[in-house]
Amino acid sequence: MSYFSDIYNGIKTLLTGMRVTGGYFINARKGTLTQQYPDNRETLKMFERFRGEVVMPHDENNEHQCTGCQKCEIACPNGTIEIIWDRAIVEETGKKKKKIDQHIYHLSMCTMCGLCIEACPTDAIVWAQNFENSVYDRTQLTKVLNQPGSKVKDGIED
Amino acid sequence: MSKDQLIKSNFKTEEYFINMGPQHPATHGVLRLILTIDGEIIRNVEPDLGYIHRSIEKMCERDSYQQIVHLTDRMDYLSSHINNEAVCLVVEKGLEIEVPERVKVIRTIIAELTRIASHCLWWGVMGMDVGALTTYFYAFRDREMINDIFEETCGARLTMNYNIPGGLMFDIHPNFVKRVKDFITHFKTKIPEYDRLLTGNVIFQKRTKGIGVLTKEDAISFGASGPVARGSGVSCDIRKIHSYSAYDKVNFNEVLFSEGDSLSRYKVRIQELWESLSIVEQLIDNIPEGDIKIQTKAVIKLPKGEYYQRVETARGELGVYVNSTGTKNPYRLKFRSPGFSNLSVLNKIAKGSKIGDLVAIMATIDIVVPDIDR
Amino acid sequence: MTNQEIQHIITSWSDKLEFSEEESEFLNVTVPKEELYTICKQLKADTNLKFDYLFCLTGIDWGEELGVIYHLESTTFRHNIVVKVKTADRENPMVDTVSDIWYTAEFHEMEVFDFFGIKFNNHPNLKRLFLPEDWEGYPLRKDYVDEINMVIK
Repeated sequence: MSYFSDIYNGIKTLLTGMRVTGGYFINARKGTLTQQYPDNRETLKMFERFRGEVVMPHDENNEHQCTGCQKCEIACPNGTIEIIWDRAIVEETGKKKKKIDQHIYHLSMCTMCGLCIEACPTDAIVWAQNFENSVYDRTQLTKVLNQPGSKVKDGIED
Repeated sequence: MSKDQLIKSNFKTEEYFINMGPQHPATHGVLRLILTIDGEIIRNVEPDLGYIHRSIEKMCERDSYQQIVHLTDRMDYLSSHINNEAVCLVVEKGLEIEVPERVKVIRTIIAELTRIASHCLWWGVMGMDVGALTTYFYAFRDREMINDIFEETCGARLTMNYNIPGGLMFDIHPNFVKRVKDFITHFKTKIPEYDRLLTGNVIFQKRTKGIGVLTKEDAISFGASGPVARGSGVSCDIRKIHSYSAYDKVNFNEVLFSEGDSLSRYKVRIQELWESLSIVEQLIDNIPEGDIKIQTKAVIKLPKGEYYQRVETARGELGVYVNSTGTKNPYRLKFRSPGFSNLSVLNKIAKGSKIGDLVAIMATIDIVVPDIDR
Repeated sequence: MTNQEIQHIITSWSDKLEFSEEESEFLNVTVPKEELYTICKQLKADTNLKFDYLFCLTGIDWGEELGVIYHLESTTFRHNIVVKVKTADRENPMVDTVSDIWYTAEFHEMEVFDFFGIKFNNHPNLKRLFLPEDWEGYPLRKDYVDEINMVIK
């Protein structure tokens, strides 16, 4: 007898499971989470805190907020950030002041830990939400964050 | 003469080796098992590790304490927040600072959400390993909601690095509470669905019941922890025994089953989903106001001495041993990872079962290979 | 059981033990390596102690000496102890295995052998666990040099 009851119970459990899947089959449109990437590129918006890559925002006068204090370089665990800096004479005071020549960012080595942005005293670097980083040659992943000819905004001190 | 003896006397059988992995779809990563088999019966299982060993412990010896935190994301990537928390707690213990209540509660909520996400993934993969592909999609649908919560608050979905020694990197997102509440109401209707879909299924029951039995004594002696040990009736929940963060303020039960087979390990995890959900529910309305970090010095130097912190990850007990000589780097840092000890059980419980059962046993041990290799 | 009571019980077993509670949250006991196995066996067997759960086994390089640290807990009484053993021999360090007392030590001792080169007597299957068999040197020792792959900050 247990042979037949086993068959009965077996079919019953299978049908219980199939009721769940069947329910979703009928209400297929309800509660789907699938995103049609890359077709939805125009509408796809990442969260504002999403860690895509590190960028340095510049304002309309081509000025950034980086003083070249190198705190991000020290905070980085993998040597992703390299700062090439120089000293320039400030005209008003006549004193020498540190300024950045190049803020080099190796995206290929970055682990998106966020310690550099946490360490930055002047909020010169922020996260960007771009995540499409595939390139044909990995040297293209080495980026210079400050734009050519840019200079530090007046009044930014660390 | 019985049938078995008749076969034995007429056919010569011979033990031989086969490799399972490192690229086998059922080994959950690059794990290589050297199996000694006699026909279909397993005589010995020998794990061969090290395919993704990154020597995190050696890297820690040259990193500052803030930098160590992000390395632990890469160990057990499914409970990355809890790993981060362990390192932060051990540094806070060394510096003798007490983090604000708000930090404790937020850490606990995210840790429990991590546990739910991890168990969701495990449930999906568990179904796949025993041949039910559907479960994977259902589990990932619910896990996606948690990942979105993490992405909005922490900025990353898996390797979050949201903890820093002394608190949290930044405050929770304004949408956090609402999203978590939405998730709780959503997920409460889904766990019974999990049960209907897989737990009661007759094929699943036959694949797991009585398979891979781990006795209570063996579980303790092999150092098993987490759901693997609790499935054998060993009380080992660090959240209860050595309470940390906000776990002493919430009510939850330690899930224990005494059978010790694959099915009871499965049941422990399903029950833990409910418990984790209830912890989140108790805390989400009562996040105290306050600071989100205590400012530490830019260069953290732990006083000379030894520090040990134990936390409960989704897989079991994670221990962080720090030996400091008073400099800015640890002299020696050891991670006692739950997966490593749990894997050592495999040879004991898989002996004598069939190759198909080995896959089911491995699924219930819930192996994450980067956690073993570190 | 308090640390004093545990210390009181263990002191009578041997006169070569050194106890310390400084700079650590647990009771530390340094054991001469010849007595390690018997002490460990007693720690598990004693009905008042019952240290049946070895939750962490760490290899450590003290610079001149190599050592192994055993973190023990009793699942019945929930008290802890840390057992330490040291060996000054860096060429051929030998420590007795405890893998037949706590089975978990089998894997952890293989890991320690792999990274520190400490050989465990009577270990059932002592081999390189993570690194390939032909790897030279023991990477977690402080005097290990690898000029290509190691980045010193």
